[in-house]
Amino acid sequence: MKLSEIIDKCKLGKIAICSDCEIETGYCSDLMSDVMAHAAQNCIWVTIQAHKNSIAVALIKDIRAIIFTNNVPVEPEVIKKAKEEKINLLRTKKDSFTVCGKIYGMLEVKN
Amino acid sequence: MASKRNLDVVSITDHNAVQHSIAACQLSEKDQIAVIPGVELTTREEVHLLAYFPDVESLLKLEKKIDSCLPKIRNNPEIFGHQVRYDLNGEIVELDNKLRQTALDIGLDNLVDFIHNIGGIAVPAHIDKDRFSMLSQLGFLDPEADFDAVEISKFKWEKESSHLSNTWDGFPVIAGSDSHVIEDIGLFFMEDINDEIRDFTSLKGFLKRK
Repeated sequence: MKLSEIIDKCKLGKIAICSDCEIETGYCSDLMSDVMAHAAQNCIWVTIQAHKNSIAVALIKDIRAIIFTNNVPVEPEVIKKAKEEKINLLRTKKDSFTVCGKIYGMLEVKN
Repeated sequence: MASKRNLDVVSITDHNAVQHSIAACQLSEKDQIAVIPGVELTTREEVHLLAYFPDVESLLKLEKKIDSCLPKIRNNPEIFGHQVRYDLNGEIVELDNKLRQTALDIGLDNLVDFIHNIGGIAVPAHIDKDRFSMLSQLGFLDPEADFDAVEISKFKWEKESSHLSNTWDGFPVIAGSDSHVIEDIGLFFMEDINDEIRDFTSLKGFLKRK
């Protein structure tokens, strides 16, 4: 599924858009060690952990897009690094449970 | 207890609370021990961060920041126990009802900047542990990060090979006793073989040279 479709249907705010990549699956976690161990490549990652290290983890794991939930503040340095590394950044007021439920349903229908 | 166990320099670092650290500093004036004002903070990422300061005034500035960033949750003593404040004579003077065992609503990097701006040093705590550490929460240490040192747990610190001039990814390494009860104080300590570290200023200078 195209990232743009997820952005539209989940009404996500755009922080940094670098590509309209194909999203195959998703992962939800706030612990970097867990994401590094379990996230699949080409996935969309749902988290409240808006730290610079999140971008590095996305890069290592070939994660194409991150959704920051609960309206967590995102520092300019994080956005700058995401743009440099071509990682898409989205935000929403909704919590991770709600966003994951919505995206899971969309990807299930598609498969 | 610290003087009984022959410690020269100590710091009391309660979780998101500074009053006992201040009390320890006041007690040290009567004693031979140097007490460095300190605290252990929990950032928004749930990273535990130690902060040490040159004086009680700076620690009080940090207390204001803690109060403004602490979520308004009441402590439930059945789960977390009572948060009791003692005075210099060991009498209970206050029951703190604000839940301290939680994360402050401020990001790690911002908090490190704040600590530096009020004259302190910032040290991620027990980075080798798999809970509430820089590595467990944020995956790895950014070599560019603005930390003055990193702390490893006493279990990682080896009597033979660990000493105060060791580094981890370029950061100087320190270790604390992590004493949660009075009897633990002094069972673990770091040895300063050159007798350089006497107070905050010499500690800061020592770490800077590493």
